[in-house]
Amino acid sequence: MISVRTLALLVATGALALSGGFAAHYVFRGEPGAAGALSDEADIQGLFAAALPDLGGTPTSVGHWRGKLLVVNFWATWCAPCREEIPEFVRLQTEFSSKGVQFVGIAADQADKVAIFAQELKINYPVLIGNYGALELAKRVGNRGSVLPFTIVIDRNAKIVHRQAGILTPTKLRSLFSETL
Amino acid sequence: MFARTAFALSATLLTTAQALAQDLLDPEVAFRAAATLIKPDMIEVRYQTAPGYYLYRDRLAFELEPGAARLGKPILPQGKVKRDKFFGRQVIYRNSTVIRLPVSAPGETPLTLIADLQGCADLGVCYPPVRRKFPLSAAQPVP
Repeated sequence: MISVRTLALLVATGALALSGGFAAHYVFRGEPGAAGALSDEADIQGLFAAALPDLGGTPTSVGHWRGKLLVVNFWATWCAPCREEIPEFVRLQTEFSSKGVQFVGIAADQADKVAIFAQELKINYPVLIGNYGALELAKRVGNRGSVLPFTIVIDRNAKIVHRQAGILTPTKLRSLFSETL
Repeated sequence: MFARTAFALSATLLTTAQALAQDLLDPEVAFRAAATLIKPDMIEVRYQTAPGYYLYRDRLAFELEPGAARLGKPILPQGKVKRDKFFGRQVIYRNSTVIRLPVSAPGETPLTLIADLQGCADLGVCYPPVRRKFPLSAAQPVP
């Protein structure tokens, strides 16, 4: 006889599979060649080159951190799931910074709102202000539905090794780090 | 028996997830909207939100393009309460939602309604706020 706890575990496993399946299927679904149509190199160069103001107003581009294992997270203050995953990113940034991992947030939002949130959430990695232009930037690196949160992981050779719409769990990130570092 | 049910439930969740994931909709389809001038002094906005998607009531906003006509206070349906970890108690709308907007200077047509909305999918993604415009011609007389 199966226990209630086991049942809950099974359901939770299904739910986890749900979120994982969702991300993979969402990002790479679509007409044949949709994902392939995105040229990683061109997209990455565009992302690396885009100069966006940081929280202090200084134009900064993601390319500044080229050579690190980059986790680039597109988010906004009006997006609840975005807020949910950021504290985990803060923890992982602390844990993995000495190993060459660099998180960068790109906010599809206004600077004043982002500054308040960044303070509240004690964000310990750079946050760039993209306003709604951030969504276009995200689209060019694979966020075809313009949904948030959207995160890409870029290895030290400037290759996108993971794209995800929806929450990117610490478990998945740790696994990506161990494969990539 | 129970174990089989549990596995079936888990598998169903996975299948549902994959099906939903493949069907993640464009915002225009997830949040369909139409506006009609039902009376000279009343606009009706109808939202049809796809299953698995919802709109935030407090992120709906309406205005008329500059002109003499003004909008009164929107007449909003009750909606459902979503307790959000970050945003607290939020009223959301699912499925069909009808909102009425009184027009304070009737008679001036055509009108153009500007309507803002923002919503999310239950799968854990949100869509950016969008603004749509609806040209409204004079209300048709009721036969």
